[in-house]
Amino acid sequence: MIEFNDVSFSYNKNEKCVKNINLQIKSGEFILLSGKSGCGKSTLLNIISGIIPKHIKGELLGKVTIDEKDISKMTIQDISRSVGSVFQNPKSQFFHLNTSDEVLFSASNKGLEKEELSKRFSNIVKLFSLEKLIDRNIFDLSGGEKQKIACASTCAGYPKILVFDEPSSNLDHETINEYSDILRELKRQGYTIIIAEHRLYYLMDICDKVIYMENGEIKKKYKKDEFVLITDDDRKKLGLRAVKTVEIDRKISDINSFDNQLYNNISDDEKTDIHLKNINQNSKNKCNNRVEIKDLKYNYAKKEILDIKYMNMLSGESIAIIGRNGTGKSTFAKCLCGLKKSNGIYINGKKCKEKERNKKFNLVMQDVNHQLFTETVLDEMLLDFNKKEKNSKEYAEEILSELDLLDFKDRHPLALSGGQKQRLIVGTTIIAERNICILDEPTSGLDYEHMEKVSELINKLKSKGIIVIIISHDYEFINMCCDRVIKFMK
Amino acid sequence: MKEKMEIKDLISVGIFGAIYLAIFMISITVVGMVPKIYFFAGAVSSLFLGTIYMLFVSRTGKKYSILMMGVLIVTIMGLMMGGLWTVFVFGYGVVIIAEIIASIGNYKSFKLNTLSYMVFALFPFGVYSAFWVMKDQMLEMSKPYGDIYVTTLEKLINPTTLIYAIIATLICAMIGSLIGKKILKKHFEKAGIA
Amino acid sequence: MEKVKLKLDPKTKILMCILVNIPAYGIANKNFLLPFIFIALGMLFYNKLYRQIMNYLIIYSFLNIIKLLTPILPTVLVHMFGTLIISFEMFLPFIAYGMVLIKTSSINEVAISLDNINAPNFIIIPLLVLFRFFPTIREEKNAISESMKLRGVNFGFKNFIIHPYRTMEFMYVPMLFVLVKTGEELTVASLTRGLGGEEKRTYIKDVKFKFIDVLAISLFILLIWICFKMKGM
Repeated sequence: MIEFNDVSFSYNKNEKCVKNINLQIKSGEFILLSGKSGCGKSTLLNIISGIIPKHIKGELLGKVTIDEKDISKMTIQDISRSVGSVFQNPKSQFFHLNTSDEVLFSASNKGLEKEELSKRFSNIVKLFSLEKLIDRNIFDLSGGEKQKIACASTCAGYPKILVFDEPSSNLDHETINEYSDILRELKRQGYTIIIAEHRLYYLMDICDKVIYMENGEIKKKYKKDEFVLITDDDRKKLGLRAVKTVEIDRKISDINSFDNQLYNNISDDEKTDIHLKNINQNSKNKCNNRVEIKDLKYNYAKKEILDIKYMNMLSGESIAIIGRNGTGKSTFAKCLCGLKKSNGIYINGKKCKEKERNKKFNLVMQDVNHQLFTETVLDEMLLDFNKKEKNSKEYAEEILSELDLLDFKDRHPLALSGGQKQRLIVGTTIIAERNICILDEPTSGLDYEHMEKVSELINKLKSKGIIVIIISHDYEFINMCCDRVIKFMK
Repeated sequence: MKEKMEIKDLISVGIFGAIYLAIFMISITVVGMVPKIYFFAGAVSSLFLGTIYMLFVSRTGKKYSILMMGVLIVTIMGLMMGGLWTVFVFGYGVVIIAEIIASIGNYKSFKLNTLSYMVFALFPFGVYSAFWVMKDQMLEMSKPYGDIYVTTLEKLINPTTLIYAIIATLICAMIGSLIGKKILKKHFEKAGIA
Repeated sequence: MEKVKLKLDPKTKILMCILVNIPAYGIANKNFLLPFIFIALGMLFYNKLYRQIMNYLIIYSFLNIIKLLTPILPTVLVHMFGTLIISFEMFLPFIAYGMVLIKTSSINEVAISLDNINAPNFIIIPLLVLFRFFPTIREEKNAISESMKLRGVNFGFKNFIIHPYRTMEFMYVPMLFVLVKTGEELTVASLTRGLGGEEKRTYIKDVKFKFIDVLAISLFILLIWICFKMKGM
């Protein structure tokens, strides 16, 4: 149904994003596109949907046909009749403010009759179980719900082919399971589905074929049965994430139970051992801090969101916070950093107010673009609280070097890659000698290699005596670098 | 050959219109709280809005782009501020002239774009000119409430204030445009979005 | 039998907002505006928007009370707020109709009603995008504000006065960057769902310019004419 004949694409004359693509996708097949970041998965999907080369300009060579029609002669809108696309970021895909208007967007653009629109609306609502989500303000929905609406909206056009670009990046486990069910149903209904993903486990029993790409070329085409048997070592070499569902391999404490007091029941000597294991004694930062939370309550709109009786954190440890969306994890992070008014946080026995917490704690947000303000990477490091000590410039460069950012010190922060931006913000945490660094979903959308790099970053923070708190759905990552795991529940 | 506006440009018009209007409304509200400098609110806001205008022209500088954004902003502002005909007539006129000026340099000349913005920044005077047109009407209305109202009004609505306000707006728009150029060069060009 | 709900086309409501300014600014005697205000409040009542009626009456009473108190207020205050009060009075009918428009029509309905008269894409799309982005701008502003706090640069009034340029720069750079990126992603998501295609868009909602709209506007214009006639007498 879809055929690529010796296709290649490049933005400029120099390097080709994809080359030598020869591919045939049969009607009704479910294809999983895998590969490291930058291997060309997204480019391939963009070629199918027509975004390349009509919207993203460049040189496209070779022939791509859908149902034997050459798509180079068609507009993006024409192609969209057969190809529907769902993207990664739930926040930027919706055109309307109301969910019902949004769901019918593609059908509406096709100029269908009112009865047809009505029929499709009920079908789509049933298929995606949107009963609770229709006729609502999109801004009130969670990330997972927004992503559902995006998918529903694309499907309402009844395109024969569906193309997904890492749709699970921002979703939690339960939502991914729901998504998995929806994809299964779509396949059953006969849609041809091509999905580019890092998270492979939830698609293993739905997909027919797995295509592995590297450096813009298709390296190998696997049949599903072949791929499932891949060993952990092999798939790590390919740079791929887990193929089977990963569970957390250590004890999970409940935020509301006194289980957190794990550390209170350990002897002081044992505590020191854990300390020493993680911390680099030559680190400039202060390394023996203890942060305690006692009776932290936070209410919003008459609802109790947080009620934490006691929590204990020591310098150099990393704590993972897991739990469904909506259980207060982000609120907790913001309260800790002093961004929301709350009491009950003590550093080394002394009460710590909001303004002080702004200085002593840091939060690496999901969208790091909100956190970069200056002209160069070096300036960004030197920004905090106007710390203009004598050798702060040298110290900043030292830290940048440790983070592999020294070569970029004169680059504009917003021109860096996502991972580099993340490292830069971590760098500002280190130079400002903060006690805690909270990272919100630092590995969403990352392949194996980059996830490992983030894990190294976490260890670096720990070695400097900084308490690292990680909010994440990524169990593979948590198993790699977190000492403790705490679960938030409603 | 001048390019035509595509869907992506229309979306850009909507986004830049939204941020322009949001900042404009906030600065008007803040500055407008002190009635004596009410007429200068437009000037103050143009100091901040120059950046947005410059980024918009840099990204979406095509035929009718400024016209579309201007019409959008003037229409919504006009409807929010009382729907007086003077607002629309004056506002659209100013926007058309701004569009023409920028298009002469194919939207790439800094000097012409600045001039274009200086004209564009005058659109709030549609509201002020309403006071002027309505002057007799307002004087009549304020009579029952004492001479004090009448004198205050007469002081406020006179040609001198208006001229000062217009000059202030032009100067501030020029400064705002320079600020915009600086920020574009310092940040947005390097970040790849200018 | 289902109760037929009288729903006016958004264009009618917009027209009313604009037309009501003719008597509002053209007639000095405020009493002539009362029927118009009653009509607007009536429309709010019909749509069960009681809170809006309350809000309006509060604003109305507040302004009138200040008006009554002017003889005894200090001169300074009168100087400052005098013009505001008077102009607000002329503004009141418009506010009433503005409330009706905003509370009874969604922006999508306005877009549909414009599409019905074949308004071109370059009017409708920017309009829809503009309103869709207002909440986004607010969210981004909050996120950036929080980040600034963490870096020791508060986005507050004090900082604006002391370091206006720097504070503005700190808010603008991330904000415009994120808005541009979101815009790019939105464009792609819209193109791949057929926006800008050749077909004329259709909608499930019924937004039509019906006889009742023609009737409403005619009666409205008639009322304005009567008011002007009576003023002359």
